[in-house]
Amino acid sequence: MDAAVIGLKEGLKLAMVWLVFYSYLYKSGKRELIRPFYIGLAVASLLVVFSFLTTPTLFVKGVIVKSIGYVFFLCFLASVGALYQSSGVNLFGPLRDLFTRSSVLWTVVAVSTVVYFCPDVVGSSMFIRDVYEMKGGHAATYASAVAGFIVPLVIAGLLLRKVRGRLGEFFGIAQLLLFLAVIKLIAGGVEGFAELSLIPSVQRGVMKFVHDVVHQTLVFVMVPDHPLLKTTVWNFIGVFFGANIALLITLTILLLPPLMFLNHSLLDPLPEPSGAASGAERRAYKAAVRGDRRKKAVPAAIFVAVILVFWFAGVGGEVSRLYNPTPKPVVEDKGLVVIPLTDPTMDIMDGSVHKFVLSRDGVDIRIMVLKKPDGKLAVMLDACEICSPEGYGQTEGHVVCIYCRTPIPVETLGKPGGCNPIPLEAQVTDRDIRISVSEIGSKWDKVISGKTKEGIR
Amino acid sequence: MNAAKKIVGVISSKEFLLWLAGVWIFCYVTLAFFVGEAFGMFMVSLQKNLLVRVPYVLFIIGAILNLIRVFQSRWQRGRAYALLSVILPLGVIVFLSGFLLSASYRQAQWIQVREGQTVRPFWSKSAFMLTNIKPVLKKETLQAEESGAIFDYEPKITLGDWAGRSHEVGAFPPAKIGDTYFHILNFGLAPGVRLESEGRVLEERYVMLRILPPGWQDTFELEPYPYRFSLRIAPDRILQKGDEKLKLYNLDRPTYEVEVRRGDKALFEGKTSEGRVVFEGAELSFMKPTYWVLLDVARDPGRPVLLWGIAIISVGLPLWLVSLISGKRKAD
Repeated sequence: MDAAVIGLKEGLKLAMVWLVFYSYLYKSGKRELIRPFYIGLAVASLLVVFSFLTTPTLFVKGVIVKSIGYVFFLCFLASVGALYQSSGVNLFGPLRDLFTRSSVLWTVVAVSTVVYFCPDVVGSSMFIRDVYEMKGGHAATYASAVAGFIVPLVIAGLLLRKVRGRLGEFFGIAQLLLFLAVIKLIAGGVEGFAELSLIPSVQRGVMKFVHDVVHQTLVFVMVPDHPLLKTTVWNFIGVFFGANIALLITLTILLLPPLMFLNHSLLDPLPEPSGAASGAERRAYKAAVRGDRRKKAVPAAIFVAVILVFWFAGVGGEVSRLYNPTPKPVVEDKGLVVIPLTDPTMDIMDGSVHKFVLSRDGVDIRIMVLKKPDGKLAVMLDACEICSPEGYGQTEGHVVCIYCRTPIPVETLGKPGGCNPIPLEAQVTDRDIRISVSEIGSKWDKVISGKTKEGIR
Repeated sequence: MNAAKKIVGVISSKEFLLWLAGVWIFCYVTLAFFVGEAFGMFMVSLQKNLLVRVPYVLFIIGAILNLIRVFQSRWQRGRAYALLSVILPLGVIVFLSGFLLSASYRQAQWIQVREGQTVRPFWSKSAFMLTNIKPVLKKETLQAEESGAIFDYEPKITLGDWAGRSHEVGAFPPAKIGDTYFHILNFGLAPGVRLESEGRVLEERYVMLRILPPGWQDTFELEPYPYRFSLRIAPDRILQKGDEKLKLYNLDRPTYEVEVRRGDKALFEGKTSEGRVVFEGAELSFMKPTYWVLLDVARDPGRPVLLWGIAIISVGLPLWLVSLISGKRKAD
């Protein structure tokens, strides 16, 4: 069932993009550009076959997952530029003619097709292979995935001739790019429909950016670090680090360009025709322009609606929920703390945060272990160098300081400094993690006393 | 002359500004996706890398030229409208300029000092004597929890200069003395300790520790002696009423919980008795503590520009919204 759903999802995405792209080319008289699109699809298919034959490393898998979000960003950025261009500004200046040459357009379409489809289909095929192996090599897994993939394409093929003329009226290049961004945003994932949305990732990225800018500004204007500020002052500054501000800014970033375009399409005065003699000709020209503008505004309006629906359906709020497991007690054994890599109650290599607590001289010291996307284990104290040691919670792709809400990318764990958790030197064997108690104690003492503060900035 | 005009024309165009912003967003997001800590890398590059600094400066120049052009065209539509609409972008330009100045020319240092010691930033010829620390803590401190609530009171210090003038410095806003800003980043207690053995004083000094708020633990060593001392302030009295527990600490003459170790071997664990602990024939006694502060000292030509930028943005944002509405009305 899982494989069929994934196959269906990829097939549906391809079918929708194919329908829209073909209709756009048909209406704009550039049908010859469908060939590089097919060539791009063929290259993406070859990469799928290649991914079946090789065993990708965790690093490669991580790059694929990141690329899905990145392609959304590329589509969105390009669509913003194209929307701007279509509102009358010539962004390319003298280079504008370059993009009318067929060789350039061929290359752009072929490369864009590979870049757009590759991360999803390669990631999904890896997932299907995992399902195949989990089910003991049952051939029905592949068969159901292929069936799920082909059905939407067949339906799209049957619809193509009927809809291409009318569908194409709604799409210029800007609307096409916006449509590609929407498809990526709501269906860009590799592990099933429940985990598809990129919106929380976008929100986290914005939150990190806002946090970094605010923090750097505070350093420059010499506002002291939080321990010395009155609580009320810190609470005020903390508003800028919170999820609500990030939510508002993310919504603004995502919605402002299409809303500006809608404003231009629906409310800006219509241009006067040049050379039209009679009033009837002028009215006919204006009606045509108005109709075209309204049709082209539809994809932008759909984009706005999709974002709002997904956001207020609760997807955008996911970022504020943190996974913060209860620490498991560990004990000292001959100067070492030994944490098994697997036991019946946990798998430390599952990519989730695992916390442990060592009781030493009446003080509870929390240790945090997490497997990073590159497969390495990060062994750290559950405390940062700046804040009071309240520890970290986990959210997708980040751990977040519970005190100051700083999101830390998982890839950077194990590196010292700033608001990163303090790394511990540990020996990782096939069976366990070994950390010396003196290492844990000395670093925790510094956290509690705040001595590590001197090391930052 | 024509070439210069063309260059100015390009830099002052809206398209050039949009391209610079677009390229910055592209680079930033690419780094954020695949490397992480993109803003940190941007700040480091802004200080050193011409590939980042030059476009940043061009962006500011382009923004100024665009603002002048927009202001001129809007002036024709109405003076009030023109003024209202340019304050916000002006604030952003000033803020970005301040950011560049701070990133480029800021010199900063953290200096940990206690009363009687001197403060001398590495770029300055002047030295200042820390004559007084006002911790604004009561000698007897009452705490319901072992939390940071004690820092609800911001401490102050007095710095004396060579001319005999006194300057008061707090946590925020920073005090400007000459061309240098000072403010307190952290403060704490510095117990006076004396290590004696067989009636002979081996070492005697103040140790600047992070043991405030009470309950925090810190360690120190008195080299070359092989002991490691861990210290925390212990409550003198605990008052209990129902479930609520209040701890009373005497910060004038604190009682300490002390742990003395030599290597991994614990030599003493317990509270001070009459201000001292005895171990292995040696004695560690505690004298009346003083306070220390961690000063953040900076010479930064960008700071006032940055503050002006923030102020102008704060004023300009509501005015910009008003101008949007009035501009729409005019167009209608």
